[in-house]
Amino acid sequence: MDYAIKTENLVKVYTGKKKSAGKPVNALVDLNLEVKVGDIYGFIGPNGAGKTTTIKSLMGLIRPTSGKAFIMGKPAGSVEAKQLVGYLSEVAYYYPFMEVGKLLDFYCSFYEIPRSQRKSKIEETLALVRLSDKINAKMSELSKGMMQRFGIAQAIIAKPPLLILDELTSGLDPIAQKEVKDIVLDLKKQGQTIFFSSHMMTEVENICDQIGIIYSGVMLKSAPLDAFLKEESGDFSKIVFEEASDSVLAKFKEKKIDTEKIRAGVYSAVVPDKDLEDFIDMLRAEKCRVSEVNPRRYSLEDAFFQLIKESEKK
Amino acid sequence: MNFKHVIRIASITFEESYRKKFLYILLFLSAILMVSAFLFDPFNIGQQLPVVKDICLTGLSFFGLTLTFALFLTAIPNEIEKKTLYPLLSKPVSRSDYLWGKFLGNMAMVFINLLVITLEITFLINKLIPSDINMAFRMAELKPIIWSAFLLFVECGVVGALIVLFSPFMSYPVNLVLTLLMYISGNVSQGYINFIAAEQSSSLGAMLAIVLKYILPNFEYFHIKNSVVHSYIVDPVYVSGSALYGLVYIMIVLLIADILFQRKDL
Ligand SMILES: Nc1ncnc2c1ncn2[C@@H]1O[C@H](COP(=O)(O)OP(=O)(O)O)[C@@H](O)[C@H]1O
Ligand SMILES: [Mg+2]
Repeated sequence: MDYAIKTENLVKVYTGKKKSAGKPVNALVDLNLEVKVGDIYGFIGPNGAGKTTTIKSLMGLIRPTSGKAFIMGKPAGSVEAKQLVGYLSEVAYYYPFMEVGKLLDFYCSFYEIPRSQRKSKIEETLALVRLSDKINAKMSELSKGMMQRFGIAQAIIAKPPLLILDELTSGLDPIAQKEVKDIVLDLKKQGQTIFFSSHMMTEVENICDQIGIIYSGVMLKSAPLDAFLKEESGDFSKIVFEEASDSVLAKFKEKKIDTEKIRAGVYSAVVPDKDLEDFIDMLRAEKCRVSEVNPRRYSLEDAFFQLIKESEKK
Repeated sequence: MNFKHVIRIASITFEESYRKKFLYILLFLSAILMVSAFLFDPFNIGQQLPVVKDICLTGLSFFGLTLTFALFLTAIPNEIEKKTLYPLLSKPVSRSDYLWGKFLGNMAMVFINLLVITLEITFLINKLIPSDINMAFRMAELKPIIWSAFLLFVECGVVGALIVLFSPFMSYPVNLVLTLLMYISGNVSQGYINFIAAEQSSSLGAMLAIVLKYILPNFEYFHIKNSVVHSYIVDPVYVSGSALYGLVYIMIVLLIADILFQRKDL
């Protein structure tokens, strides 16, 4: 099997004085990651889960405490591995005194691309990220969204077989987010292998076909997107009911369904569709007013919270 | 290490530094120096020439070293801090390419500046030599100035290499103090150091003397100002020996810097 990314028991302990005030941080705990060529892999986890640490290890920007990492079979961080991967960092700054086109040319010059082809490559790439009109603009003149699109441009400039994007859309306004996502969808259509991290579940659902969930440096689950969504049998509905008495709430508790207080006397609960009728009957019997019933699909977010709950029980 | 990559990183480093304002201030100051050539009275040259040479060469050292500190102290820490290093190091570039590129780019900037100011100084001194003096004498006066500037350039290289060595691991105020301390201790005359070494009875003192003697660069080798000022003969063999010493020192420091930088978490 050809893996675009493979890690073997990757461990990173930060011992630095800076962020942790002396206490070592176990940022990665025996992380095993396998991303196949052709996958769009979403690497999901809350802030501080260890996504950036994983990615920096893959790029050779930090040195793992132990374990191994490979990019297309080459040791991570080696010049050979870096030939094969484009990277967009979570926080990215570029030389502000450079022009967009010139800076791309500079980055391009480290690959074995003949000078004659560079110009057309740069124009092509800028067109893809919709920055063609900015080719002569200074980097310092770009907006944040444009900067992020430039970030994609510098990552794909040499058409590497693998793209690693760290927090692609964080810090962007909704329009800029959509622009950036559209570019990724374009790349997906071209068959590009992409590994990207995000702390937002909703963002990845419509882009990825593989998902890995990381929490506190531990990979909780790595599987195709469907596997997460089909986890729970059937669909759910959200019901909102009013004038609820304590006995009603107790009945929900009995059936292990969480209720959420909206305001005094008004509660909501998410129940499986197969039990929906029973609950409504019960609420009627208790003289509660059912004000809302909405179908609710089991989302990646639900899967995520469930996985975290399970992992914390252990 | 890929030499082409080193040159590209050097050239972007150069490009970045010529946008810095302090460069223009330095060059402006040196222009004032040149203009002051016209203020000297050409009939009193006998006494004036050494004074002018002394002032100019002292000024040149000051410019060169200030520029070296200003360029090198922030070069690498800024890129680590602002993360402009990430997009660059994710290209097929090794950390060695980066480190040597940064060093060479900044040294190129130091070179250009020293060249400009040295040319101004030789022009000035040349003007002060009475016009009836023959060419051979004229050259004997002017050539040592160039040598002196050349050794200053090597000296700046040693200082720059030391700053590069420390800069991934220290904030620049700390780096400044440390490098300055090394510079000052490296200026202690060898005669004194031998004396200190002989006098030490404690092992700590002896160790300190050894550090002073063998590990710190000996900046004395690069200083030929006295000979130049008083028009003594400057031996080209001495000049090339000092330059070679400096070059070897720079190479060793950068190799160590390279090894240490490989391990750094960015
Ligand atoms: N340089 C560092 N020094 C110390 N701790 C760090 C450093 N970088 C990250 N950490 C810690 O490691 C953990 C993982 O961080 P990170 O990989 O940035 O998470 P994510 O990208 O998923 O938000 C966090 O607890 C963070 O505080
Ligand atoms: Mg992160």
